[in-house]
Amino acid sequence: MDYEFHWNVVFQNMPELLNGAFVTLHVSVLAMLLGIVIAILLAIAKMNNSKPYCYIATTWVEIARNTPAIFQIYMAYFGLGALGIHLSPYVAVLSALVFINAGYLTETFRGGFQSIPSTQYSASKSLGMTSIQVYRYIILPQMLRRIYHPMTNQFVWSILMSSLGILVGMGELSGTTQRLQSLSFRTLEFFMVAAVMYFIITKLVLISSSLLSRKLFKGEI
Amino acid sequence: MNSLFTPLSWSDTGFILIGVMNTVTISIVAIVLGTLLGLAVGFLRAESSKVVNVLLGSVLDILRSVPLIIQLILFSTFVGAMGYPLDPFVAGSIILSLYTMAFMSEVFRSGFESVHQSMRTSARSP
Repeated sequence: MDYEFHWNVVFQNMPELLNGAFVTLHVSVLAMLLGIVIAILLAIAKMNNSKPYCYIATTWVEIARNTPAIFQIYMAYFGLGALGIHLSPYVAVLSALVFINAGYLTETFRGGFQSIPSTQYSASKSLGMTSIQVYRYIILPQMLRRIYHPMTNQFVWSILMSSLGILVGMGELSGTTQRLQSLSFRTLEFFMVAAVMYFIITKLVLISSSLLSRKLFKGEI
Repeated sequence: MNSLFTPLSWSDTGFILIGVMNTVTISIVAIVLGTLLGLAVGFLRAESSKVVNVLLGSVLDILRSVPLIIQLILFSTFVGAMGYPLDPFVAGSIILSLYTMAFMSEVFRSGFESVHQSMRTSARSP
């Protein structure tokens, strides 16, 4: 082994890397929130009986689930760019992540909703609850309990997928790492630090999610 | 259109087909190796003590919570820096196999643990 590690340049550029990590977290939180909103609409559309809505939702879900994330980021950046719509790297990665998250979460929401037997709805109705009360007190709490962990999983995935911003020159953690390593030629050191930072981010998300689930569900899961 | 932007022509199909073949080959390698390794690691995790479990678990955790693209770059630069540069295809296969292993080992571990202990006891009893 005749490789000398030079960690100094990494520590000098630590503020930039931390800034990149913040952008990573930022873009994945935003992608998750927008993804949830769209996924709720798509899940409603998919469970709807009217054909066109169901068709649109199914197409969206199939495309999002069956093509690689890298392809969608390319399409959002270079594909739309070739058509004359020039998005910034941040917006391109964000829109690709929203597209993927919405596709996956639609199935999660649909599965969670359909796992609650419809007899519960009838039973609550027979006890004199209004529709809003049934959803507020009976269906949504149980549903949230079942979809909480798949949603956490999807959030971690969107953090990991945002690393593909490296390909379109976005300033998130891996993109910043790539830029800094091409300035200093310390590829191994920079990517090691980036890997550690991704690991820490993921662990922090998982720990806070499990604390939140303990608080929300009072130890029932 | 400027001259740099040439449309896709039929003569490009060959290159795309080579890419398709590479995708299929690397996937088969990763799935087969990853499943076999995952079976072994899952068996180890289901059977062994807590200490081994924690050690193996943390390695698998690293494989699962670092983005694949970072792992690929890191591995291929690492072996290069150590003086054994690998073909990108080989390096990619190795990392993808390990990545698949990390996921499959959990599947196999829960599979092994879902079979109740009493089954084993009763099978051993003459």
